[in-house]
Amino acid sequence: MSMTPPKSGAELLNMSYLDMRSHLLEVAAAFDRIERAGGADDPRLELLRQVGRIALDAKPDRARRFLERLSE
Amino acid sequence: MRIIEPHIHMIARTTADYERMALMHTVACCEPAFWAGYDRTSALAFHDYFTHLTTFEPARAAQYLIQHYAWICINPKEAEDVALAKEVIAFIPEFLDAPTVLGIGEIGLNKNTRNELTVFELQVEMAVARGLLIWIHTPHLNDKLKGTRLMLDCLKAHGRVNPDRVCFDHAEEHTVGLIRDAGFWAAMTIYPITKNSPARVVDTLEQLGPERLLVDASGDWGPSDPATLHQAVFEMRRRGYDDDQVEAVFYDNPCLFLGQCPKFKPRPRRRGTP
Ligand SMILES: [Zn+2]
Repeated sequence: MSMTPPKSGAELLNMSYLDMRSHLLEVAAAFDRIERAGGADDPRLELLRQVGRIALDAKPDRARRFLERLSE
Repeated sequence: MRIIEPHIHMIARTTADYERMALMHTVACCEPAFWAGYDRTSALAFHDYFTHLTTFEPARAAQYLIQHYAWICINPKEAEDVALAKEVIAFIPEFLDAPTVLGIGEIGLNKNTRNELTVFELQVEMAVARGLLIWIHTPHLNDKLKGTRLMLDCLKAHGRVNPDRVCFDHAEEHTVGLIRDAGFWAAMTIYPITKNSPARVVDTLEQLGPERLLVDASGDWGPSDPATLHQAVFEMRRRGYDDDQVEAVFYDNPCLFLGQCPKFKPRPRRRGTP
């Protein structure tokens, strides 16, 4: 049986906004860093782009779908 | 508030970690047998390891008023050599009667190979024959989903495995539902980088509910920290849950699963399913 979250969506956004911003910024900076160093011929980069799109899409269960995409 | 750590490799941690855990209200911890970070060179090395887990660690923990329990097995990472595994399995029964040993674990899969599955099945058989609890390691990263499915299918097909007495550890969003839907217990590990974060564990608790769910830090010699368990406690409180709800997850739930072994002493605050 699921538990009712005591906090509202707006309260949860306040709690995690800086965290979300920071993690996305790290991803952006890491892609820049790799590109500046000449890039890498590695399929993991494309996988990261794909799961990045999942993280930002408008459908539910993003975390589950993200991990499924990375599963063999 | 009392906390139980269901999975930690104290052999790889300092005494200062026992002190920190005690200060964070940990009253009991469980140490499954696992890989040492290098392959052991003989069956005797496993004998020494199991002796350490059943003598030295309980004594070291007791200095900090923490009850230390252990799980014994040949771990999946060293299960590729089936002949060696059989040598180790032959003397495992010596340790199963120790007063702090809860069952067989952490068995499982690492690279999802045929040999790993053979050694997994041998040890499941031993647990079933002796009526012991089972603690399961699911593979890391990309292999996790496949390995979890393989073991679920194997245990469901077995016929004599009671899912109430088995816990699949290192579950994440893509495996936790499969495990619980099949009737087993699931445990979620919080690591600083891989596995779960404190926030994602609380997300899963919210979505699936706290039934048959455990949380652990799985501290070992890699990037890990016993305090990640307590970070999840704090995250749950920060998200507005009261102490009763928190203790139901971090104390009562471990008592309900681990207490199926009569050697496990802590008792849940209330009877039945939380
Ligand atoms: Zn472990």
